[in-house]
This record gives sequence, structure tokens and C-alpha cells, in this order.
Amino acid sequence: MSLSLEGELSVVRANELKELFIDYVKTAKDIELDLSSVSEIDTAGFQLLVALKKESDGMGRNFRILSVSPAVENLLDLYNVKDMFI
Amino acid sequence: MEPDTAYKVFLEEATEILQTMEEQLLVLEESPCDKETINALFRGAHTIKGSAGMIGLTDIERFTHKVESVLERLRNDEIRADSVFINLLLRCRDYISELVKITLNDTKQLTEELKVTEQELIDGLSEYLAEVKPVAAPEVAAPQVSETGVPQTESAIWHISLRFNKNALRDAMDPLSLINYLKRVGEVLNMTTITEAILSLEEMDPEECLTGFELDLKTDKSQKEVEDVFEFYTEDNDIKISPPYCKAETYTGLINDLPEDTWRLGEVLIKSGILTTDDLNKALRKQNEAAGSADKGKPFIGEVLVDTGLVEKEVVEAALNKQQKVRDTITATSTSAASATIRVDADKLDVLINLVGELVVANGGIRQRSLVVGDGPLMKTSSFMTKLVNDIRDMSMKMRMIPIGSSFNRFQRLVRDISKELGKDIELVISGGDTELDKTVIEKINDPLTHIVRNSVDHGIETIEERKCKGKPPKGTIKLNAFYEAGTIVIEITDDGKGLNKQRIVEKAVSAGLIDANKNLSDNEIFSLIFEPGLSTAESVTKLSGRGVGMDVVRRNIEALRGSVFVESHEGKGTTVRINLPLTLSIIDGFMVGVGEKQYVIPLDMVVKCYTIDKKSYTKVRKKGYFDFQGKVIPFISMCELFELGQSNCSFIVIVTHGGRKAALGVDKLFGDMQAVIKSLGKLYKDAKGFSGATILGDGSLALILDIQGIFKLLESEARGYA
Repeated sequence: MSLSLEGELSVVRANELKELFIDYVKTAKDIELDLSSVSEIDTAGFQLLVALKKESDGMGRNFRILSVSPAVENLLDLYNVKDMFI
Repeated sequence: MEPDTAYKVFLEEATEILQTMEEQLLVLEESPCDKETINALFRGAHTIKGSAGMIGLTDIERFTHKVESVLERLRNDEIRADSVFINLLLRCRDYISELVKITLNDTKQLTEELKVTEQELIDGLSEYLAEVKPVAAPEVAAPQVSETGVPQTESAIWHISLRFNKNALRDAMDPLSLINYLKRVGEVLNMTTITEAILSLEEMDPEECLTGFELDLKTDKSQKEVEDVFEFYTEDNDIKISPPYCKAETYTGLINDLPEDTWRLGEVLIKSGILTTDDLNKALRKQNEAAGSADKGKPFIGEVLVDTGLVEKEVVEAALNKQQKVRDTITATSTSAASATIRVDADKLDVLINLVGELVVANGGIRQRSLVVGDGPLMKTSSFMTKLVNDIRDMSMKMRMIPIGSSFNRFQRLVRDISKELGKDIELVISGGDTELDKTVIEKINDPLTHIVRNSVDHGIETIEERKCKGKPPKGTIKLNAFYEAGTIVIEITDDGKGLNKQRIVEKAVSAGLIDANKNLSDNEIFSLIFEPGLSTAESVTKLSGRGVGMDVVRRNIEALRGSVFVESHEGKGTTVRINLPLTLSIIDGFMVGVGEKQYVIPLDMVVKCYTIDKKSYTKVRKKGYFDFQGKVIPFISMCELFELGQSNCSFIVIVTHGGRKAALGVDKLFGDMQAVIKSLGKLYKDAKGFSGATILGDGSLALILDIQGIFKLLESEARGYA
């Protein structure tokens, strides 16, 4: 079951996203993210992705980002962290 | 304040600062861009200038002011700390130290010689003050040049470390925009995003900024322009910009400052942009392969990185160095934070220690008497008091204990200066500097240590050419190490030089009539010959040796401290001088034994074990002359016989140890442990072998303290006599 995120992935929604991620980790077998509809991402959003990745790595689950929007792609490029996620 | 007192305070303060300045200058020589050190140096000079001015020492004030101005320029990156500069500053430090010393003289007049030195130094300093051109970064020139279209200045690579305030995101200061902006200032290279602070989803506060960055920025902008980029970010954020000309130090300074300093070296290097993850993985694989094939255990990752040619050796070394310094700083700050100090006159402390000594003795008397009287409540109070007295004794002894590190550090300068003079390249490696030792012992061991270190530099380590010929690294190493061992402290001075020439020593000793030409000596015996008077093995008298102070004086000084000294040497490989010293000179924990009608005290730390022994086994042991201790044969000696106290009929055996050797002593009675305040034996008994002092017992009678080291020597000479 992949998780598709829409709209802003940013500090404004950080707490809400955190809860969402925690629930998702609890239920999903593998972590699969669809980020193609993310309109905006900032460092807070990035940090949440890192935390989710660490969590799933720690539990021995697969972590995959299925697709990314230009905004996400841009951030991953800028932070030089593509290796980490894709 | 009385003028005299003011001078005294100034003298103490200045001496301390000057000592630190010397150490700081030597640190600066290794890492010329160390901002913290530069600042500390500047503060040091500033303080001396200020204090000197306050009490009207105008000579010092005027001269130190010049030094301060030069340091200020260094602080502002207008000049660079190269070796010429460090040399000059070291000489200035020495000169100020000289000036400080003469403040206590009545005349306070400069000698002609000093005046000449001062002029020389001032000339030297003025060169640094006169220079108008900024060296580090062309702050004004760069933008003008680019505007006029004249070929731009060469671009430089700045290493930048970014750690943000936790509230940065809430305050709408996203690092994202800063990184974006940096791309416009120059080319961002080797960017690493640090996410170690993000722990887990549950624990994280998603609104906090937990991300950091390490990156290199290639740009033709000036320092000021680069700094201006971060103008709005500097408050509350941790931003470090390392200037381009300090390549190696940049990385290492950074390791120093990174909050995540526990990372393994490889990772640190990646964060600093020297390595890529791929490179490290390759190196790690190699490391594991090497560990599988060899039984030496895993090689250090640093070695592997160098071997695979991924990183320059210097960088790894510098990084390791800095890591060590990080640890040192952490220990240093934790100690300085924990202890607010007051200064106490050393004489007052001595009086206190003496009084405590008397208290210990008096208390011993009360304790013994209370046992005789057999009054319950009295015994209870007395044993409580004994505990308190012991605590007071320990505390007052501790007050005189200081780490040997500061004494060791002085040798950095010595080694640096002599090796330069002799055209050698020598590094002094210090370890165990936090080992504590009685202040008096430290003061008295300084001279012998100086002599041994000087010998290592002068006779031990070869010249650069010689070393190259022998296939050794051109840089020689001298190691100073201190550690505790069985209630004593051990100081080791090790060099990787040419080692002692046994044949030469024997020849010299024969011609000096010290030994018989035909005698076969063990290595140990040969090496101990160098402590005999009149036996110098130096092939030529140089500036540094041949001053009439030899290793015989060294040994005498060490033995005067109830210590001992050994030499171990391998030709072509190097020499180790090992000094054993007691931790303190005045009070020891003793173990009292009875021999005949008399009582003797053995230092408790040297006692390993006690056995009772029946008549039959005793006769057997005595006949054999050795004792089987845990499967090892160790020499046995009956104290009765040794001290010629008549019929020997020992019923106890005490195993003692010193300097790695063990022996079994036969005694008549065991009294158990007690406190011994050591009194010296005085001149009359100075030749008495086997005793290191005496102590007064609670009942006022006297007990001799056994000198275990001396007893070992007696055993040795006896063994030789039999052979």
C-alpha cells in the first residue's frame, strides 16, 4: 500500500504529517511513497522523509519513493541526497 | 596593595600566561589557522600588557603592546603565522619572560645585552606592523577588479559548516533558501547534508531544524563577501567558514567543532568533503579483507585510506591529531568547569602536610592505647577518628598533586629548538599528561627529564640524511609517557633513534676501569653502565652535551626521590628510559612486619601477598633460596639473615614487587597495615642499604621503612657474587 502525498510538504503541516507517517509505518508492510503531487517541500518536509526512511530501515522494511514532483526533485538535488532515497 | 605584593601577583600571573603562550605558539605552528589559539594568544598578551601598565612596569607594557598589535593583525587575517613568524613570537615571549624576571630585581634596569635583543625583536615586529597589503584575502581589491572586467582573481575553495538554530524553521529561515543563494555566490562542491540529529519519527519535533550541511564553496569572492552571505543567519546559528589557504586545518578544525564528533574518521572525512561514500565503502571492504587475511586485527581506517591512496597522509594525521585534541579539550573544559581554584602559597601547604603527618602519628598512638585499654566506646570513637584523619591525610596529599602534563609540555619547545639547531626533524608525542604527581616530585624530576630528552634529541635521533639512508622515516619521534603502576608513577622517554652501542659502552667501561674486560654482561647490566660517573658514550662533545652533567647525576637525582631508572635499547631501533617514582614523598600506606624484636614497614603498594609457612617448608625454601609463587620461581630472602638479627625462624612470607620484579621476604610476624609518615634517615645512615626512611610509631618507637628497590639490588649483587 503506497502513500501518496498531496500539496505542501512543509513546516506548516509538519505535525500533521508526523502523525500520518507514524500511522503509516504501523500499518504498511513496505514503505512506498508517491510524491508526484507534492506542490512544495521545505527542510521540515525533508526531515520527515529522513525520519520515515530511518524508521523503515530500522524495522527492516523496504523504502521506496515511487515518483517525485519537480519541487521534490529540486530539493533532493539541492541537498545532494538523491542517493539516500532513490 | 603593597607594591611588593603587586609585583608578586604580577609575576605569578605573567609566568603562567607566558607558559601557556609558549604552548599556544607551538600549537599555532602546527595549525596556523586555529582561530581559538590566535584569540587566546592575543588575550594573553593583552592581559600582560594591562597588568604591567597598572603597576608601572613601562618596559614590559611598551614591548608587549607591540606584540599585541602584531597578534591583532594575525587575528584579523592580515598576516599569516608561518614559521618565521612563530620563531619571532617565541623569541618575544622569551624576552618578555626575561623582563618579568628582572622586575623583582632592585635595579629593574635593562642590561646592554637585553637592549640589543629588544631592538632586534622590535625591528622584527615592525615588519609585520608595517605591511599594508592584506595577505589572506584581498578584501577591497577583488570586487573592483571584477567590475572593471580585468581578469578575475583566482577562485578559492571555502569550506563551510552550517548548523542551524532549532527554531530556524519556525522563524521562516529555511536552510533551503540559503543553499539556493549559495549557488549564486559560487559553485557548491562536495555538499553533504547532515541528518544525524534526526532520531525517530516518534521523538522528533518536526518543526525543529535538525539538518546541517558541510560543503565547499568555490568562489572568487573575498572573505568579507563570503561572510556577508551569512549576515542574516549568523545570529543563533552555528556557521563556520574556513578560509581557503588552510586546507588541512580546515578539515581538522571542523572535526573539532562538529557537534557529531564521535563519528568514525572515515565518516568525518566524508562530511568534510574529502571522501565520497563510494571511496569509503571501498576502503572499508579493503579493511575487512585485510583483517581476514592477517591476524593483526583490523587496520585503522585511516591507514587504509592512505594505503589506497584515497586521502593524503597529512590530512588523516591532522584529522586524528585534532580528534585527540577534541578529547583533550573536553577533558580540560570539564575539569576547569568543575573546579574554581584559589591560589595557596606552597610553603603554607607544606606546613599543613607536616601537621597532618604529626596528626597521623598522634592518632596512631591513641588508637593503639585504646586497644590496650580495651574501652569499647573509646575504641569506637578512636576508629572513627582514624577514618577522619585518613581522609584529611588523603585530601591534603591530593592538594599537592598536579598533572604532569604542563611539565611535559615544556619539552615541546626544548625539542623544537634543539632539533632545529641540529638540523633534525623530531616530533615530541606526549601521553598520560593527566597523570598526577606530587608537586615537589614534579619539580625535582624536571632536570633529570630535561637531560634525558636532550640526550634523545642529541645522541639518540639521527640526522634526516642518516635516517633516510637507514630506511627510517625522516622525522624522528620522541615519546613522553606517564602512567601509574603499583603505587608508583612511571615516566617513559622513548626515541626511535639509533639505540645504544653496547660494544662502545663496554669498551669505555673497561678503559675507565669500571668492569673486567673478560666479564660477560647481560644487556641490562651493560645499559646500566651509562649511569656510572665518567662514562659518556657521545662520540663528540657538542654544544648541548659535555656540560659535565651526565647520566650519573640523573640517576642520583632520581634515587634521591626514592625512584629508580632503567634503560632498554635496541640498536638501530631506539632507546627507552623508564623512571619509576613514588607518588608522594611524605606519607605512605605501610604494611608492618616484625623481624626478631624489631618492626619494619613495607610500602603497602609493593606488597602482593602474604603466606604463613610451617617450619618444615621454611627450611626447604631457605635451603633452595627461592620460592614458588603462582608457578613462578622468585628469589627468597630471610629478613633475619639479611639484617643479621640472629637465628632465622620465619613463619611468614611476604611477596613484594617493584618495577616488574618480585621477591619473597621471610619475616617473623605480621602486624598489618598502618600509616607511615616518612622521616629521612639523615646523613649518618645514608649508606645503609635496604632502608628508605624511618617512621615514628604510635607508641613513640621507631620503625625503619624497607626500601624494596634497594633490597632487589642487594639480591642482584648477591646473585652476581655467587655466579
